[in-house]
Amino acid sequence: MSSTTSIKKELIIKTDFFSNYIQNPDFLDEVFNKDKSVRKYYLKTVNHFKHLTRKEIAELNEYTRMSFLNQGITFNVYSENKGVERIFPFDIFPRIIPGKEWAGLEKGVIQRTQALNMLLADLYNDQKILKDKILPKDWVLSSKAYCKHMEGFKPVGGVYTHISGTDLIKGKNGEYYVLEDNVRCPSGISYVLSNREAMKRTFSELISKYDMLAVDDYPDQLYDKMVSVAPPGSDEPTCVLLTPGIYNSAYFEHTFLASEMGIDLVEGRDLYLENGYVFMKTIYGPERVDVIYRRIDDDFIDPKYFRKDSLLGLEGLMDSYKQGKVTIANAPGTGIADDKAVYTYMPEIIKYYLGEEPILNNVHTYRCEKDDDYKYIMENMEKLVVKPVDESGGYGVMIGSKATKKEISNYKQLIKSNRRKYIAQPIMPLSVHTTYIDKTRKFEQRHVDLRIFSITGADETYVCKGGLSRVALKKGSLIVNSSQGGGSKDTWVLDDF
Amino acid sequence: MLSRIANNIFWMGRYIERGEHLARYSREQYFSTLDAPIAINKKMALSSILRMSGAYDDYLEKYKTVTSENVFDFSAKDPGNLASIHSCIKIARENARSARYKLSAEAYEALNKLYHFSNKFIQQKVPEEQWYEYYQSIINDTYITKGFITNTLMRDEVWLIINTGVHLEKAIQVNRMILTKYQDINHLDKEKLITPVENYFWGNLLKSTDCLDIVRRVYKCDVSKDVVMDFLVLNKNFPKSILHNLQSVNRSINRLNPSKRTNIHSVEFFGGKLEAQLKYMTFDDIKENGNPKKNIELLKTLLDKLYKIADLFEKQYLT
Repeated sequence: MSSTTSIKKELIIKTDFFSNYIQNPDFLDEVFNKDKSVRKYYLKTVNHFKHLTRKEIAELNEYTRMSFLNQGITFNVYSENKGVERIFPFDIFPRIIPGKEWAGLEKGVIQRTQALNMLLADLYNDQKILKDKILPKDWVLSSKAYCKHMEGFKPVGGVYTHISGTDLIKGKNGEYYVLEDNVRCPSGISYVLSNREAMKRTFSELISKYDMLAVDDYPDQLYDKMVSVAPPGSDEPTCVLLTPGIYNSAYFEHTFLASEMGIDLVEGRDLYLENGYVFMKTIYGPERVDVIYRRIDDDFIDPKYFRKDSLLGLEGLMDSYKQGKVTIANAPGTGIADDKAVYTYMPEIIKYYLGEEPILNNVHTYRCEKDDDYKYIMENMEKLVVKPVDESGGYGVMIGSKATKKEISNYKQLIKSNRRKYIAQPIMPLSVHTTYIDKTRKFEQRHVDLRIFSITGADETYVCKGGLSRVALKKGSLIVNSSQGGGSKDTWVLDDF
Repeated sequence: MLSRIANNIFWMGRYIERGEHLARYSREQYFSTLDAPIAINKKMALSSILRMSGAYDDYLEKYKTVTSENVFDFSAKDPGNLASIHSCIKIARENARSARYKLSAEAYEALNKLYHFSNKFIQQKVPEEQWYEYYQSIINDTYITKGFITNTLMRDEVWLIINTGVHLEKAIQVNRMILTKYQDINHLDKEKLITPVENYFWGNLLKSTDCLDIVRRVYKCDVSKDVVMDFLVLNKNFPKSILHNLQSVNRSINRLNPSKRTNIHSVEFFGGKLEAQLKYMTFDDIKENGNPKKNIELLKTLLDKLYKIADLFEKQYLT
């Protein structure tokens, strides 16, 4: 008698997961159709979780959490004390992208990266796009992100942005939209690789049921692309990764990539210049450096040209760079290409350089500096997301629908004082995804985005076949950044769908 | 390899070793007092922990009296005491973080786990019943970390430098332990210093270096201070003796130096000379012969020379 009861209970617990799953009709659910049926490429995954008990899932979740902590897969938060590390919360329910859908994404990312590199080459040399009045000259040249020191210089292979991260979301209509391009020092790839590793350790059985594409070729590709842009004449170029040090929020990623590529992880103090060449100090004396993958912002790479108080970079590095004696990836000054105001012109930029229609959609953007747009923004703030063009990491963003009247009126003052600084976009209905919530021990809908990583070398662009699906763990929140309560999911690109 | 990274892994090795020795020494100091001869009081045993780690003065600045609870807090888990077990582990792990791309994932994970274990105790009171387990866990996890280092790293310059740090620190810590024992005995009233009392000190030292049973097997006699000196300083085959560790240090450094060109100011020369001096010392040379000051001087000079090896090594390879 008692055993029958417990079996019944068990069954209830097992099916409980998804029968009580609440679907908000305002958003596209990546896993479930509107009629609550499971999308076919998610079937095996949903079934797999259905066969686990609540306790088993809680244990698996805790197991992966401890595994991340012990392996030191952590990040630091700037505002917190030095040395405080947090795990980037990892969600055990994977995000799945069918192969056909992915093919379009990959093409679109390559197209954008190509256009951005051509834009940078043009802006720092002939400035045709300004002369043809596609982009307004005055504000491109006055932008903080425009780097005068790059004028008249072309890097090896004409590549400016070697490493790019493209942020996308899926709208209610099932279409992807590019939210922003990241071509300065985009981070997150180490989580893509670590998440896959964690899933392999915990859900090997489920993974073996799918035919998915690998992500772990990224470090090899990165190394090859770095070698391809080494200064001419270096037969076996020495590549290094330049980090600000162990207190940087992305330090884990720096050490991870250096280790995966088998190259040295240097700090500014390891480097010096001799005869215009860059050397690092090793236990057997100086060793020449040919390619620097820097994970330090432009502002800090060379106190001679940028911030004088920087202790992180190398004084005179820009001189060596401009003499073609060392390659820096990404090139200084790429920030002008992912400026949020330049973003709004991406469809025109793609058409201008490639003569093609953009493959990926842009989100419609209003620019405060345009009088019509400014008027619209001021009158419709509660329907918009307003953001400063020169901040990253989700800082300074105001989501109109979530803000109080007072916050809106304060923000209006901010915009008034510096119209060039702000843009606004309609509040995009980011798709939602089934996500395990620790607190309720249930699967619930949460908003997700997707960052796709690509690497451009002298000859071609490689796109990592997966990506970082960031998930806003706070109920209803649209902000997915790790510094503000976001987590991430392993992202599977399927070969057979 | 970058000099800065070499510096990191050298100190990683040293601090892993330092934390382990302090844990073992503390464990013995606490738990041997339970059945010690009457002349040994708890306060003396506790002070010995502070003296061994060089934290005695800092302790007295923070606390007025020597109590077991305070000494445990200060010497085991106080982040403000740079010579606490926790600080050693923390510094070892900070160094490993800077150099982790040169370590194996397994070695880093083991050390990181040890750190998180130690970190857990900072905020919480640890009741006295759990101290033994705490020390033992630290010692075990250190062994696991060193096991991963030994079994997962290539025998390249990374390993050679870690090895140099580990063995040099082991020699230094053992040297400090013997010296502290001599000082402990000096603090005792002369009339209380009868043979069983003195033997207690030396037996306790051998337990702190995990070798009481081995010494009994090798010497087949009561433990005396001459035997202790002979074994812990001059034995070539015991992994914690000073000479054995000095030989390991020299081997690593010599393999690290590819050109083999050395001069009289080099660390290779200095280390080799010290090794030769110890190698040709005999039991008679190291016997006390009624003059404890002689051995105290010998140990002090030896300790200075071990520190000098560290200095020379840093100058030659790590800056």
